[in-house]
Formats: sequence, C-alpha cells, structure tokens
Amino acid sequence: MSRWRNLPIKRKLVLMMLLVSGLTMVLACAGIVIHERQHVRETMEHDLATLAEIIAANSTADLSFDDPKATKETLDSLKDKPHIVSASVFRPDGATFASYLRAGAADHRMMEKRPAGMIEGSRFDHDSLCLYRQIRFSGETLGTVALESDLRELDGRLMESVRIVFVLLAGASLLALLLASRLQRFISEPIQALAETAKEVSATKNYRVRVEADYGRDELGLLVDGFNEMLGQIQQREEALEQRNHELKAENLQRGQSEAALRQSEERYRALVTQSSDAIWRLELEPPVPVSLPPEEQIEWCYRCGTLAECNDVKAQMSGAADPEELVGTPLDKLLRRDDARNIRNLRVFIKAGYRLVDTESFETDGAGRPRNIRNNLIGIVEDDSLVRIWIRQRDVTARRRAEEAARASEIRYRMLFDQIADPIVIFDKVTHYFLDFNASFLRIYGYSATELRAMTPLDLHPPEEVEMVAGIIDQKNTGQPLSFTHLTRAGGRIAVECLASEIEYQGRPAWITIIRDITERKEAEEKLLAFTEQLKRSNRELEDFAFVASHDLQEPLRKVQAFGDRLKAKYGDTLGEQGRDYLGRMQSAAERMQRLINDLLTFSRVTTKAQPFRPTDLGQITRDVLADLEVRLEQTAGRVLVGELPVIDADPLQMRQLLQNLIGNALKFHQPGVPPVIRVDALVIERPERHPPGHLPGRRAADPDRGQWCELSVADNGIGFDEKYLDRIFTIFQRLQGREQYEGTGVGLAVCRKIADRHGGFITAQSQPGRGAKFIVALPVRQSVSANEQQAKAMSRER
Amino acid sequence: MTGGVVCLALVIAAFVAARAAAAGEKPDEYRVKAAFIVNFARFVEWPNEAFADAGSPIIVGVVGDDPFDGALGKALSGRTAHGRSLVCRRVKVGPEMRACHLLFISASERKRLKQLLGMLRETSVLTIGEVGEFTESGGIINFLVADNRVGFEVNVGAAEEARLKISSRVLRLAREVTGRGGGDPR
Repeated sequence: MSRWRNLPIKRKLVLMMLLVSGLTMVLACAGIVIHERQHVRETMEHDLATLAEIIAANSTADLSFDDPKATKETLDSLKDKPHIVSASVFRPDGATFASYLRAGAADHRMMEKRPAGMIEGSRFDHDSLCLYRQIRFSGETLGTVALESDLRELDGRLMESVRIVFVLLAGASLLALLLASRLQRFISEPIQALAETAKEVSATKNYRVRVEADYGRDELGLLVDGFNEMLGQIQQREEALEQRNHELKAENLQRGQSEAALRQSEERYRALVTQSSDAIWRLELEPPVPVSLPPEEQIEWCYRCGTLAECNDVKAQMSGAADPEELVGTPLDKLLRRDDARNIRNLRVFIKAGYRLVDTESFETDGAGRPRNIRNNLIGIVEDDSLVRIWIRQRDVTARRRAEEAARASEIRYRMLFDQIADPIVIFDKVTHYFLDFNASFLRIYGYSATELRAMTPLDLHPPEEVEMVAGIIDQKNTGQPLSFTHLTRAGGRIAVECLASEIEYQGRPAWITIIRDITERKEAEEKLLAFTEQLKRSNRELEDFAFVASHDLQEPLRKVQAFGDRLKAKYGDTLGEQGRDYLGRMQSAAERMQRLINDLLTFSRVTTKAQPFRPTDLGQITRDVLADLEVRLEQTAGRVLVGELPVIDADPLQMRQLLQNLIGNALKFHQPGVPPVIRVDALVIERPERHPPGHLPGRRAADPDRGQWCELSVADNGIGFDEKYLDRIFTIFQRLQGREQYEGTGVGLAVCRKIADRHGGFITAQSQPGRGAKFIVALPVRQSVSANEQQAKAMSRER
Repeated sequence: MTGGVVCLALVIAAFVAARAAAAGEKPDEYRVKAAFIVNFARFVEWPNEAFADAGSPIIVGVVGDDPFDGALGKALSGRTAHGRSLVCRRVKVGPEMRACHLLFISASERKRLKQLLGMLRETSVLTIGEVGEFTESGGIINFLVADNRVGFEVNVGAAEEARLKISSRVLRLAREVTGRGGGDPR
C-alpha cells in the first residue's frame, strides 16, 4: 500500500486507466462468453428438440399400429448425426418401444426404460444433454421419444469464443497502455509543476516564487492560478503577521489582568465545590448526546460515553475513593448503576424534564458495598442541541431514611401491640372529640364498624343518663386515675368499664388515648359483696337490738325476783331455818349476778345504740373524772394511778369515759395479792400505729391516708398479767381468764373496750406476761373525718 | 394390509388371464383389428364433402356378420379422429352403406364382395375387408394375419379413386401397397 502511495502520479494515472479499462474488458468478455455458452446450449437444445419432433412425427403410426421395426429404422438413420449418443422411443407405460445406440458407445440405461416421471423436458448432465418429448397424435399420448447428445459441439464452440476474447483482450490492453501513457500528461504535468514549486517554497520560505506555465481554464489550471494567488496572499499575511505580533505583545499585558480575575472566579467556584457538604461531580459526555434522540437512546449514549470528569472530596468519600483524582474517568455505570431500574427511570425523568432533576432519590452502594440512599440534583448543560455535560449534586440521606424506617418499624410495633391487646383502646381528637383510631378489641367488643366510629365521639358510647356527666369531664381527664363508666355497645348491651386516659399526639394532633377495661364482672362481684355486707350489718343490728330489748325486758322479772326475795328474807327469814336462808341467799346472789350480766350486756349494746357524735374530747379531763369515780376502790386497794399528758381527740366522751373506767378498773381489780396496784395512764401522738393486734386488721378507714395522726393511749399495771396467747380471748364477750371466785366480773368490760375502739376507727391490744403486769394499748385517730361523723349520725338516726 | 391387497390383485389378474386364454384367439385378433380401424380413421383424410358439417361424426359401419363381438364399439367409444367423434353402426347391404365413412365388410360377404364394392363407387367410403382378394376386388384396406400378428395391405389406387388421402406413415407400415401410380389394376 505504501508503495502505491509513493508512486509518482504519472504512474498512478497510467495504472489506474489500465486497471479500469482492463477490468471493464474482462467483465465484458466474461459476459460475452457466458452469453455465448447460454446461447450454444439453447441452440443445442433447440436442435435436439427439432430432431425429437421429427422422430416423434415419424413414429406416430408405428406406435399406433404397434410396429417397432419401422421406428427402429427411423432411429437408425441417426447414424448421420455423430453427436447423438443414444435415442429411444418408449410406450406410454414407459417400456422401450425401439432404441438406438451410437456405435462404440457404452450401453446406456436410458434405453432400457423411460425414467419414471420423465415425460417432457431436457436435462444437462456433465457430459451430455438428455431430452424427452411426448409423442402425441390426435389428442392421445402414444409414447415418449428420448434423445441423448454429447456436448462435444458445445465445448468446441465455447473454446473458440474464449480464444477470440483473449485475442481481443490482449489487443485492447496494448492500445489502452499506449493511450494512457499519452493522456496522463494532461493531469500529471501541472501537478508536478505545483509540487515542485511547493517544495521550493517550503524549503526556501520564499513566497515570491510562482508556477509560470499556463494550463488553461480547467480545474488544474484553476488550481495553479489559485496556488499562485495563495502564495501572493501568504506573502501579504506574512507582513500583516509581523505587525500583529507587535500588537499582541501589548495585548498580553491586558490579558494577564483578566486571567487573574478568571482565576479568582475559578477559586471561588472551587471553594464552593470542595467545601460543600454535598457530593458534587461533573459528568462529561464525549461525544455529546444529541437532544433530538429518543430518551432511551440518550440514556444509552450517556452510559456509553459518560465519564466523571471532576468531583469533590465528599463524592470521593461517598464512592470509597481516597482522592477525587482516582474517580476521574470512572464510567457512569460505576456511579449510577445501570442495572437498577430506578436509576434509569430517574434519568428518563431528567431528560424529559429538560435536563433537570430535583431532589430525586437513587440507590447506590458505597465503596464498602453498603447500600446508600442518595438524593440527587442534576443539571444538564446543552450546547448546540447536544447534551455536553451534567452537573450532579448528591446528598447521602441514608441515615435519615434509616431513622424514618426505624420510626415506621416502631409504628408497626406499636400498631401490633395496639391491635393485639385484649383491652379496647381508642384514640379521639382532643378538640373535636371525634374518634381517630381504635384497636381490634374495641371493634370486636363494641361491634361498631370503623366507618361508623369515625363519625362518633366518646359521648356516643354512654347511656343518656351519663352523657351530661361525661360531657362535663371529657376535657379534664384525670390522667393516671381510672374512671368508671357504663358504655353501650352497638347492639345496645351495657358494659361497665374503667377508662384510663392519657394525652398523646396522634398524627400531629393533640388527642386522648383511652384504655378501656371491661369491669362488668368485677362490678357485679362488688355489688354482691356490698349487698352481702349490708345484709350482714342488718343482721348484726338486729342482733344488737335483740340483745338490748332482751336485756331491758329481762330486768323487769328479775327485779321482781329480787324484790320478792328481799321481802321473803325480811318477813319470813327467821321461819325459813338455816337451810332455807342459805337457799334464799344463793338465789339472791344469782339474781344479783344476773342483774350485773344484764347491765353489762346493755352497756355493750349501748356502745352502738347509744352512741354520741364525735367531738373534741380532753382525755386528761375524762381520766380525772374516772379517777374521781374510782376513789373508793383506790382507797380500798391502796393503789396509785400516775397520769401522763393526755391529748384532746375527736371522740365520743361518754364512751371514752367508759373505756378508761373499764381499763383502770381492770387494772385495780387484777392486782397481785398483797401488792398495791400502780397504774400508768399515758398517751403518744404518732403518725401511724406501730402494730396491729393479731387477727385484728385495721378497717378501711384506718387505711385512709387522710386520717393523719393517731393517739396511742396506754394503761399499764403491775397486776397478775396474763399469757399473751389468750390475747384473742380477753377481748371477746363473756370470756374470762380468771375464776369468778377470785375476781368478780362478767367478762364484758374488755369486749366493750374493743367495741368502742372499733367504733372510733381504732383498735385495742395488750402486752403482758403472767405475774408481770399488763399494758393495754388503744390506738385512736386524733381527727375523725366529717364523713365518719355523718355516718355515725346516720347510723344513729336509723337506730332511733 | 398391503400384502392382502397385492394377493387379491394377483388373484384377479390370474383370473382375467385365464378367461382371456379360455376365450381363444378370436376376440384378441378382433380387438387389434378394432384398434387398427380407429387408427385408420386417424391416418386417413376425407374430403370435406363427406361430412354434413364440422361437428358431424365419423361413422364406422359393419356390414355382414359382425365378428367383433362388441370390441369395435368399445374401441370407438370416447375416441376421436380429426376432432370428430367415432360412431359404430351396423348397416345392411344397400344405400345405407354409402352414409358410412369407414365400412368393414365382413368375411361373410365374400361372395357378393364385388357387388358391394360396386355399390360404393364414387363415394368416399374407406372400405376395410379381411378376405384374400379384397384389394384386388377394389377394396381399399385389407387385414392380413400372419405369425399371429395382424397386418394390412392397401390399395392406393382405390383410395385415390375414393378421394381419400392415406398418410404415408400408414403406407410405410402396410405389408403390401398396390395400385400405386399404376391406375386401376382391373
């Protein structure tokens, strides 16, 4: 190839002309030979067909009259045509009727039998032409004639035409060579002249040289003229350039200044890019993408030709590169994965929106292969209807997305909890009160559909009698304190509920979340208990009434027994005799004990029946009064009573008096034989009673946190004491530890004390050891609540 | 299945062959003669006046005892010559004969052959016979049987007299051609 290029143009022209004319002639000759061959074939076929027709015509009668001999004669006449190898006439069924074979020719299959299906037509084999013609006469097919010719004639004629063509070709080529070497001069000479001149100019830099000869007005002539003209112009330019050089030097100074301004601008831009917290990079498209292409092709183009040309540190970091330079030249596919359909979709949007994409998320992997959520802003730069580059700003929003997802997961967890909890839960708007949300239990228990509920407020759940009350408190829910209500279900059923409301923010709105507990069963149980308690109270009261009435009514006959006993003793004492008086004395003493028993019983029952309202009572004063009453007993026993400072408490004064009288009286009574009793009465004001007596739990009022302070009143002695295992028994009515013979008494006193302590919401207990004295402690609230007082009053009014 | 069909075909073929053999030589000979008659119709040209119009059939008459036993009718049916259909007709001795284009004169008419041929003078009827002296008596084509092969002889003079052109291709096949160029031999 390079040899051809370096060949002088003269040679090139001659070779070109020879090549063209030679090729043309070869093609033409080949055409002629091919045509000749075709023509010879057709002629041969035609000649053979004519021969076949003649044989066919001659053999019609032979076939009709079944005379093969006659046909054989006809066929034998083919001896005159040496190119006929064989000839046959077949009957319509294909059997040979008559045949001929050229002398010396090899036996031929064709003569045996007509090939099946071969009726009409011709066939060229490699060395022969076979032709078949039907023999028809008067509309009937009488048979087939077959002729086989060798191709010697064809080959001969063909060879001849090839010889002619070759002679022609040789002659024409010679002529072309002669002509071409003469004609090329018209072209090559001016070009040679031009080339020599150009060589001289470039060697000497002398622009005054010209091509002198005139080559007419054709293109070459114009080229020579143009060349000369161009040299003239260059000469002028040379001079102008010289001048311009001077000017440029002056301009350079000026340019220096504007370049400095440009550099500053560049620095500002660089600072902006490098200091941005967003990843910023530039994608160059080389070659640019024509905007007229369909979007899909544009995307294809971007992926094929787009490479990162520049980026800041944030982008490098995002892509896991140590240095922004590392990323330069990265193909787009590595930066915006092509196998992610979302990226392709984003690019499509970018193209359709006029090469802008604002805050669109894509999904990429960072250098370590972790998935990242990236928010993209793209601006495409279009110049001359082509997209040349894309500026891309990206922000990694993965952390934010994760947080959002976590929030969503938390929401789902909350939702599951919300829906799966057995208690109904409902959320309603704090302002409009409309229901906002409800769990599955709520729907199941209340039977409303979600759609119905959204048009309802909590008020719709309450029976008419409760609505007003609920409306009053709905906006001031007592957070943390369950409230009891009655709710209606859709079917009209009533359920007792306890609602616990809390303030929450639901979908940005202030709302109440109410957890509802169905307490219908508990409520029923409570009511049963209440009814039972009421019944118990009633039967207790009836019992007390009975005791009071009974003892009251028992006194009358007893007084009669005593009165008539006295009278019997006074009037007939002497006549009764020793034994009679003894009997009478026993009867009278029994009656007296009976009298005491009845009195004590009355006292016991009066603790509740003759109760007085509580009022501030000075326990010191009461104690002094009691001691005054007991003065005779004190003297008898030589006892001493030491009284501490006693407080004023809310109490029934009469009962306090009785309490103290019983306790101090007992202390005097159960003194050790021969030891004068010493009794201490004291009181402590405390925050909470230290201990409860066994089996005596404080009542409900005792647990009341508002009760405040307690008064612990104690009466201690140095008497016989008792075993603390009997602590239960000593406060029970008619229970005695000591024999009646040693210590008189009915066993009612301490029972009365306990009843009084009970009535005051307090309790009584004791500490003792046999022979070591005893200490009775009564714990009483210092302040009785108003309601307790009212209850007392009510209880009393019922008594009356 | 195929075997069965082949067997059946062989049985039928054998049966037909046996029947043909049993029927003797005669029908076979006349079948060939009937075929020859059809071919004669094709290789002989009649003058135009011999036909009423272009669609008229070529009538092949048989006079005397019919030796063909229907073979002629079978050979003619559906065949054409010169674009005309071929019709077989039994004719009685008399003017009826003149309406025929080909007339086969049975051997039974041997005695009055001359008389019959005389009645056909100046008509274009191709007379065909099968007795030794037929052509000598003025008949045009006569069948000859030798070596079990059917052949024929032609009296060209009689044909020319009847203005019939017999194709040279047929003449080439005739065992004997008489009356050529010699005019009436009688």
